[in-house]
Amino acid sequence: MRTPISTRFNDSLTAIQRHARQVADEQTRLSGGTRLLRASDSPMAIGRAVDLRTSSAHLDALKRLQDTADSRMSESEQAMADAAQVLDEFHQLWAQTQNGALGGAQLQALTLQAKSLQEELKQILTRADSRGYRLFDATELDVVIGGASNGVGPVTINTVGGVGGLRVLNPTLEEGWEKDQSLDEAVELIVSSEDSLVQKLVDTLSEGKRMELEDFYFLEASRAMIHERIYLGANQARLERARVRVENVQIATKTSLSEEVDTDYSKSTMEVQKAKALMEAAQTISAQIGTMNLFQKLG
Amino acid sequence: MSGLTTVNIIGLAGLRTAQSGMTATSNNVAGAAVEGFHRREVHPMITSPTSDPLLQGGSVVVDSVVRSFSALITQQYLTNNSKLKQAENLTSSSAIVDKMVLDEAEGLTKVLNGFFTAASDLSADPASATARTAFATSSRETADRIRNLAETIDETRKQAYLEMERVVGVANEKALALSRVNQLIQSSQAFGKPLPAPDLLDERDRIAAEIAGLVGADVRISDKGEGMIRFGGLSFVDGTQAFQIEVMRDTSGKPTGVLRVTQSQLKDSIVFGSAKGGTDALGEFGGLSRYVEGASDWLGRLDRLVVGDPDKGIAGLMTATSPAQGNSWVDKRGEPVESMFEVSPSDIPGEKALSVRSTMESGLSIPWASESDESEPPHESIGIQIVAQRTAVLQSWSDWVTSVSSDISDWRAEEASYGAVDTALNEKRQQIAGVDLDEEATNLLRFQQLYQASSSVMQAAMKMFDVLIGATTSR
Repeated sequence: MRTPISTRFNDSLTAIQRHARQVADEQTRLSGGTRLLRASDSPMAIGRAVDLRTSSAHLDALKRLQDTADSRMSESEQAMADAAQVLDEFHQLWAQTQNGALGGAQLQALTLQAKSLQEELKQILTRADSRGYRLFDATELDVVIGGASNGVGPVTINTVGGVGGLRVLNPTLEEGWEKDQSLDEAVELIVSSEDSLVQKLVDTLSEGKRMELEDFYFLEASRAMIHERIYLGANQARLERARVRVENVQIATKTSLSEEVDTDYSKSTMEVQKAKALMEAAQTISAQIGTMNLFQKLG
Repeated sequence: MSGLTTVNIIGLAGLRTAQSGMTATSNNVAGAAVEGFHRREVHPMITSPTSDPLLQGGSVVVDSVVRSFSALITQQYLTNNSKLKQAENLTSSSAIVDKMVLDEAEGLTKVLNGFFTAASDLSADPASATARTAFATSSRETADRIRNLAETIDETRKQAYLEMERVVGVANEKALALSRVNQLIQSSQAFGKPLPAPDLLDERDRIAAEIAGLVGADVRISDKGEGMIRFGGLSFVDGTQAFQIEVMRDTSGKPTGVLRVTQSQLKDSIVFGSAKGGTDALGEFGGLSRYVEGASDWLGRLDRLVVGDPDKGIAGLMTATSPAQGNSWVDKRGEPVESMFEVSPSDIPGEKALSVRSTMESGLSIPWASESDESEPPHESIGIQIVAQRTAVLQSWSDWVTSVSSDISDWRAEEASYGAVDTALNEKRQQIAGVDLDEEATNLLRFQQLYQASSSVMQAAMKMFDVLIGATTSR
C-alpha cells in the first residue's frame, strides 16, 4: 500500500489537533467545574439539569414560604394565647363581681381593671405581625407550604387566627361576617359595641352594679380561642412535617444536579495527563515524518 | 555503420526516457504538498530502434506521462465531501447557539425560576412593596431574556442568509473559472494532442471540487475531459457554458433555502429550474439552508414557550401566568386580572418570542392588583395560581432546551460520521494520486541508473567506433 507523504502529515496533524482539543476541553472542565462544555454534549443531561434546577428553585421557594408561614403562625399563636388569657381574666373578674359581699363602691373600683382588660383585648385582636398583616384578619392569609409541582396543586395553610369563636360575646356578629365586614368592625362589635358583653360588663361595673349572665360566656370565649390555637398548632405540626420533607428532597435534588453537571475532577485530571502524553507522542512522530523517507537516508 | 548508429539511438532514447522520468519525479516531489496535485506516472515502452525487422535489440521510449487518477474514488470522495461540508456548516453556524443554550440552560432557568419564586414571595406577602417590585422586575427580566435568546438565534439566522449570498457568489465565480478551464481543455485537443496537459486537468478537478464543496452539485467528466456540474438534471456548468445561480426570496424579500439556475448573459434572465438546499444542493449552501430551517423551527418553538399551545397541552409563560390577550381572569375577590405580558399578534414563527414584553413597569403596576382600591394589595390567590404553573412552564423550557441540544448533537454526529468516511476516502484517493517520497526516491535511482546505463551504451558505441577508426588508420 502506498503511503503518500500528505497522508502521513494529515494523520499526525489530526492526532495533534484531536489531543490538543481534548486537553483544552478537560482543562476547561477542571477550571470551570462543569462537565458539559456545549449543549450538544449531552442533550438529555441538559434537559435533566433544567428539571433539577427547577426542582431546586421550587424547593428553595417553598422553604422561604414555610419560614414566612412559621414566623406568622408563631405570632398568631402568641396572640391567641394572649387573647385567651385576657378572656380568662374577664371571666375571673366577672366571677369576682358575683361575690355578694362586694358593695357598689367596690364594684365601681373594679371598672378600671375591666377597662384595661377591654383595651388589652382590643389591642390583641387588632395586632399585626412584623410585616403588617392583622393576625386575626378574617380574609385568611393562605401560604403555600407544599405541592405546586409535577401536577400536584399548591398545598396551602391558613397562617392567621379567627375571631369567629368570639361571637358568643356579641350575638349580633353574624356567622360569615368576613364577607361584609372588616376586622376592625368585627372587633368593635366584640369589644366595645353596645351589645358587647365586654362593654356591658364595663358599663355595669361603672354604675356600681353586678352583671347577671345566664352562662359562663367569657370562659366560653376563652375556650373558643384555645380551640383556634389548637387548630393552628395542628397546622404548625403539618408545616414542620412539610419542612422536613422539603429539606430531604432538596439534598437529593442537589446531589442529582451535581452528578449531572459537575466535573469529575479525578477523571478529568487523568484525561488531561493521558491526552498530553498522546499529544507529545503525535508531535514527536510529526517531527520525524520529514526525515522518514528514502531521500533523507540517501543523503 | 548502421549498427553503431542504432546503438547510439538506443542509448539516446534511454537518456531521453531517463530525463523524462527524472523530470516527472522532480515534479512529483515539488507537488507533494500542493493542493489538488495528482502524481504523474511515466509509462515507458520498449520499441525497435529501426524499422529493420532483422535488427536485434530494443529501445526504451516514453509512451506517456499520465496523472494517477481514479474517477470512481474521486466521485465518491466529492459526494461525501459535499455532505461533510454541509454538516460542518451546520455545526459551525450553530456553535453560538450551542454554547448559548448551555449558558441559558442555567441562566434563563434561573430567571424563569426567579419569576415564579417572586410570585411565590408575593403570594405570601402581597402588600410588600419589595415583593411587588421584585415580581415586576423579574417579570421584565424574564421577557427580556427570552427576547434576547430569540434575537440571538435570529441573528445567527441572518448571518446564515448573508453567508448563503457569499457562497452563491463564490460558486458563480468558480463556475466561470471552470468553464474557462473547459475551454482550454477543448482548445488543447483541437491541436491534435492526445490528452490535455495534466496541470490543466488538476486545475479542472480542483475547481470542480471547490464548487461541489460550496453548493454540493454533482461533478461529472465529459468524454472530452471537461468538468460538468449539475444539480440533479439541472446544468450549472456545461462544457464552456457557465450558468448563474441565485438565492430565491419569498414574498417578503427574505432569502429562502432554494437556488435558482439562470442564464444572466441573455438580455432577459431565464430561469432554468431550482434546487433545494439540503436536498438537491448540499455543501456549504445546503448546511446554511438547513441551519436556517432549524433556527426558524427553534424560534417557532420559543413562541410556544411564550404563549403555549392549548391543542397540544403545552403551557406557555404568558397564558399560564396571566390571561391571554383579549381574555380575562378574576381573582378570589372577584377583581379582574389582566395580562402581564404582551406579544406581537403576528403568526410568523418567532415573532412572538422576538416581541414579548412585560407590561409591568414597576411594583405599582401589577395588573392584578385591586382596581377598585389602588392602595389595597393584590390578593394572594393569583400569586398562588402562578406558583402552581412553575413546573408546566419550566417543563416547556426544558423541552425546548433538550430539542435544540438534540438537533445540534445530531448535526455534530452527522459531521463526525461524514468526517470518518471523508478521511477513509481521502486516504484511498491519496494512495492513488498522492506522492510517496520513498517511491519517488526509488524511481529517481531507477532513472539515474537508466541514465548511467544509456550513457554507458553510448560510450561503448563511441569506443567501438574509435577501435574501428583506429584499425582503419593503422593500416
